[in-house]
Parts: sequence; structure tokens; C-alpha cells
Amino acid sequence: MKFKSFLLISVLVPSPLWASDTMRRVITPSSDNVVVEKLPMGPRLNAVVASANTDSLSDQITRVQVFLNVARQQGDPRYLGYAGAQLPALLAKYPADPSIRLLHARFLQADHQFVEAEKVLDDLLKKPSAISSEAALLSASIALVRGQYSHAMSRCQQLSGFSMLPFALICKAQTMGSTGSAADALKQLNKVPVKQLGLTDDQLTWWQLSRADIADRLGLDQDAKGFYQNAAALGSAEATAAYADWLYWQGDARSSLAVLKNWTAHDGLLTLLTRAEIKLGLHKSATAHKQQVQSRWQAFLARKEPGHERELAVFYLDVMQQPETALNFARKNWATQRETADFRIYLRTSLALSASKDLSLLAKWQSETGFEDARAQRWLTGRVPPTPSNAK
Amino acid sequence: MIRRVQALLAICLLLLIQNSWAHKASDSYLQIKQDGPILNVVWDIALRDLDALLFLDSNQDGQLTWGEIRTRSDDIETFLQGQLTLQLGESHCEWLGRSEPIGLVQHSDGYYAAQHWLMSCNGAQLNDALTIDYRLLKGIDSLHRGLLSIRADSGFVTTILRPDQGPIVLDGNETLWHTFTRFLEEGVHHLLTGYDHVLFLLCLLLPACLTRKTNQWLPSQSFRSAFLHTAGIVTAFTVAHSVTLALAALQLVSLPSRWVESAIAASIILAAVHTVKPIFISSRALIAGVFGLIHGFGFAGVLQGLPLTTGPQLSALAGFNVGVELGQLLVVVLVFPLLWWSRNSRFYRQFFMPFVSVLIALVALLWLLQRVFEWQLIPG
Repeated sequence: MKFKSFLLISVLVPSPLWASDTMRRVITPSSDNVVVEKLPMGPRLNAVVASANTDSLSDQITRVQVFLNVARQQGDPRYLGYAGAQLPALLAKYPADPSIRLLHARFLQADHQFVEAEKVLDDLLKKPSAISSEAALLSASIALVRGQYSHAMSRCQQLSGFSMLPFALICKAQTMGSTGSAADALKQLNKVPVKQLGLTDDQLTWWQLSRADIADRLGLDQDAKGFYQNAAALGSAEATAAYADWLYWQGDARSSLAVLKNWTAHDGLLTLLTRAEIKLGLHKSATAHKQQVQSRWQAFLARKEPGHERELAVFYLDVMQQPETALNFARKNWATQRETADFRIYLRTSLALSASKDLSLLAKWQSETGFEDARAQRWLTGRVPPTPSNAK
Repeated sequence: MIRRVQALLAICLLLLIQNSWAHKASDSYLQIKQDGPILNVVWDIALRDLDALLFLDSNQDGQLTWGEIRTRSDDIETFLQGQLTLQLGESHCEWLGRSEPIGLVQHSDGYYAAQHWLMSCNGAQLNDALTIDYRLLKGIDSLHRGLLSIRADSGFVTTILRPDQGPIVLDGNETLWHTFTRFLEEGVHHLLTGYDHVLFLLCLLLPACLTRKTNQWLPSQSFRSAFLHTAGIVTAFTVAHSVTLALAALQLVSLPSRWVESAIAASIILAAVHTVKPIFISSRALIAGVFGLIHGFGFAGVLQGLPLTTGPQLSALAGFNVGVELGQLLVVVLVFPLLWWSRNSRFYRQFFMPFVSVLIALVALLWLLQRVFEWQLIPG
């Protein structure tokens, strides 16, 4: 009898799978006036493509720069793809032009192809040129993200001369902030004369987030809160995500939710929004958003391309509550990125599964680099799985 | 100077913005169903991509209405026909016509224009390979991908199309078989390195060549009976964990990992205790079946989060399951002869088997404690 029941269940299980194709439902709107798509605010691609063949080199370079900037500001990978599609022709026509090679490195870096970007920059920095300082700074930024701090510092030291002083200072402070001198690094960053430099909103966002990250790791909650708030007020997706994440770990899921409520178009922010709703017990909206964000990440995974492993780890750990899958993503992410958020998600997934080897690896890395993170240190020392309520 | 300073600061910006909290990248969804020489093509393209290519937003108000799409449906179709070339064997496939009028389909990031075409590949032979040249957004968006699935009598294929890669040849059977074998290896590896599953099985097998009479273990006299007993245990465990593995891997049922892992540890303790002294039920096959349900959820972690569509997902599931069974079989093949050989030994029955069972129970108890309280006591 029991075996018959098992067999019955076995036959029934695959049924929804085969039904999945029929779940694709074609609709026809009831009226011609129904709005079916809102177009993005960035430059219209069709106008750009139409003029591509007649543009001068400087116009073409500017166009790629615009695409790269919009991709970053709006977090929209289509613009990154538009930039990437312009580059092969430019590189073929002007293979030795340093500005185009720097653009290529920026594209590769934005597309998470750090090793390839570093190769281009290495090559570029062998001969001095007008863009050497920018190349060195970009190289330093990639090295920092990858946790290659001595390489980052050597690139920072290539920024010589009086006019480069503020950038050398920023570059070195960023590196110090991850190698055991976080407090000094914060002081250095606070000294940067931002008003005199005439920073744009984007640059101010970066500035505030840099300080917020270090203040957070030092446990300076009041400072961190101010920096995060200022950054988020400037309206970018990355600042909103950072602030919302910080609020969540301060045990304030409600404020986190309030910050995120208008960001449902972004996969990563929708993940954080869903997590906050789950924490607050908002079952109806949490269930709806969970389905939505799950289908978004499945669509991304269907491309079988790397990237977004950090966000995927957060999604599988905090939303899907599948720590094994989350740990797999956190490990992959750690192989390429070692920023604070990368460290914390790897630590959280390892603690969730008591993964001794991973925990030892993180502890060893921390002791070797001197990376300071008061919150993570409490989790690591206590071997306590982090929750927002014990996060403070 | 200021411009140079700002350019440098723009580069600095990249320091913290490595992870774009992204919108979705551009994808189109292409399904091809082969019925002899006739191809049924279903193609969903993001409205935003079509606007970028064909200026659909005629009043330039930053939004697309159904009317703006419907009135351009012929342009859309003509344009898309130029972006896709199909060939079956040596036969070029010709466009026959629409099988349905243009409509909209919702994907995870909004509405897509749905194209339904019929194509004819006259002269094509059964099992001819399909050659596909996909060119949508070629030279315009380097990150665009076409997510292709093909269904034919010979099998089911999925692949990712890049607009700049040129024509590619697809062969269905090989891909599904490849998925199956890859996950078969995963299954064997997972069973043999998942010590908790092996210990559970071992607890049930230790008395497999013994019979319980008058409160003591006695050697089984019939090889056939011992063999069938062992087969019963393994079959019950297999059937049970296959069901829950499928439910969990396909995300039809989701249980918190902490509960599952703790329950697996508890099941080992109970199985070990039961080996020393059967206290609650006599049938070890029933124990294997009931607790096998829990172990199935434990196996499923490997298959969750995989970017697989229906066909390969089933293939992966079947391969993984077969792999787990082969791993189990390996354990049984190694252990059963030893158990048969040891059954007459009083040392085995009165000392070795209880000692190993208690040892396994202690290890499982430590696992239980560390999984419930999230301590780190021993590996696993």
C-alpha cells in the first residue's frame, strides 16, 4: 500500500514541469491606448546608431563614455551592451589609441571581467601617456575590489605630482581602509577638500559611501548613518541599496523597507525589499515579491553567465532560505570580489552551514590583510549565525 | 584642470560600483518545435529592444502603447525575419506565415512582443541537425542573448545564442545525455561524500544478515532472505528520497535547510538506536522509507538554483538520482559481503555492531546539536 502511494506521487510530480510551457500566456490588450512599456530615461539608442557612421572619433568616444556612465547611474546593463557593441570597430580602427583602450578597460571592468581589464591596463601603463593616471586609478580600483591590496597601493603610488595629490590620497586611503588602518583612512578621506574639487552628485555618492563603509566597519554607527543617509539622498541605486542593507542589519527592517519601496525594477534592491518584508511578516507582499524576484534571478541564471553572485547569495540565503545554494554563490563571488559586502555574505552563509573550511579561510584572510569589520568580527568570534536582531 | 580632476574622480567612482544593482540585461526567448520538416517558431522580444531598433514610440512620449505596436506589427515581423536564419540538415527553412497574430507575453521584466511563425524546411531528413544563425541586436548590444529551446522527437535542447557568434549547429540528443551524465557523477559524489546519508544507510544495513529472535540478534540462515531484506531497505530508501528530492529540486516544496539537516541527524540517531535495540517498529525497510523522505530534501541542495529549463532539469534530476543510487549500490556491494561473512561471529553481533552503532549515534548527536544550535563541534 505504501509503495503504491509512493508510485502515485512519483507519477504526479513531473506534471507541473510539462505544464510550464503552456503557462506562457499570450495576451492582446483591450485597447490601443493601453500603455505596455515605459521606456528608460537614457539616450535613445536608435538615434545614436543612425549617426554612428558619420561621427568623428571624439564623438564616438564620447558616445561610448555616455553609455558607460548611464549604465552605471541607472544600473542598466543594456547601456553597457550598447557601449560594448561600439568598441570592436573602434579598437580595430585605432588599435593603439590610449583613450579607446582605456574605454575598453572600463567596459571590461563594468562587465566584471576584471582579469581581462587588468591585462589591458597593464599594457596601457607600460608606456606613459596622457591617460596614464586614469589608467592607474582604474587599475587600483580593480585591485581593491579583488582584494589585491599591495597591487592597489603600487598603482596609487604611480599617481605622482602636485596635481595628482588629492587622488593619490583618496587611492591610498581606500587601500589603507582595507588593510588594518581603517581609522586613519577615514580621517584621510574626511580631509579631502570635496567642495574645492567641485564634485558632481555621482562623485559625492562615491565619497559618502566610501566613508560610510569604513565607519560601518569601525562600528561608528552614528557616522555611518549620516554618511549613508547623505549618499542615499542623492538618489542612486547603489547608495539606496547600501543604506537599506545597513538599516536592515541595524534591526530596522521597517526603515529599510521604506527606503526600498520605489526600487522594484532592480533585481538586487527587490531582493532586499523582499527580505525586509519577510522580516516584518508582511506575508502577502513578501510572497508576491518573492515570486517576482525569483523569476528575475532565474532569467539571469538562464543566460549561464557569471556576475551578480553576491546578490544571488543574498537572495538564496535570506529570501529562499537555501544556505547550500547561497554558499555556492558566495564562494564563487569571493573568488573574484572581496569588498565588505562580499566578506559579510560569505561569512553569513558559512556560519549558516557551520562550514569550517570556509570560516577558516575567511579568518586567515582577515588576519593576513588586517581587514577590520567590527560587526563581522562579532559573528566570527561568537560563531553565531547573524540575524538583524543581534547585528548591532 | 577641473575637467581632468573630474575625469579622475569619475574613475574613482568605480571603486564602489562594481555591482550594478541591475535591471535585467537584454534577452529574447526563442522556442522552436520541430514536427518533421515543419518548424513552429515562437519568439518573444522585449518591447524596449524593438523600440530601440524600429522607433516604435511614434509620439516620443517615453512610453509604448499597444496601438503603437499593433500598427507596426508587419514592420516588426519583416525586420525579425531578417534576424534569424534556420537550416535543417542541408535544407534552408522558408517562412510560411504567422500561426498566430502578434500578441504580448509577460516575462520577469515586463511585456515582450510574441511572434508565432511556421517555417518549412523541405527535403530535411529525420534527425537532421538544426543550424541557426541568430543576429538580433548584432553590433548594437554586445550583452544581448537569445535563450533558445528546441523540442523535437529526438529530444530537447536549450542553448544560449550570441548575436555575434555566427551560425551554430545543434544536436539535441547529445546535450540532454551530457546533462544526464554530468549530474550522474554529481549524484555519486554527493552520496559518497555526504557522510550522514552513508551512516544512515550503514545503520540500517548492519543487521541485514541477522534476524531478531527472543530479544537477540541471530545469524540469518538464508542468503536469499538476507539479500531480499537488504534490497528492501535500499529500495524503500531510494523510492522515498527520490520523491522528496524531486519535490525539493523542482522547488515545489521548500523546507528550511536547518530543519532538514537536523532531522537527518536525528534520523541517524534513531536508526543507530534501532540497530542496538529495535524499540518501536520491526521493519527497517519502513524506517528507511520514512526517513528517506527527509534525506531526499538533503540531497536536493545540489540541484536547486541551477539555470535549467524543463528538459535539462528533468535530465539533471534523473541523472542525479541515478548517481545517488549507484553510490548507494557501491556502499551495499562493499558492505554486504562483509556482513554476510560476519553474521556467524558472536563478536560481531554482541560487540562490534552495537559499538559501531553507538559510535554513529554519538557522531549524529554532535551533528544534531551543531545543526540545531549552530555550534561548530565536528566537520559535517
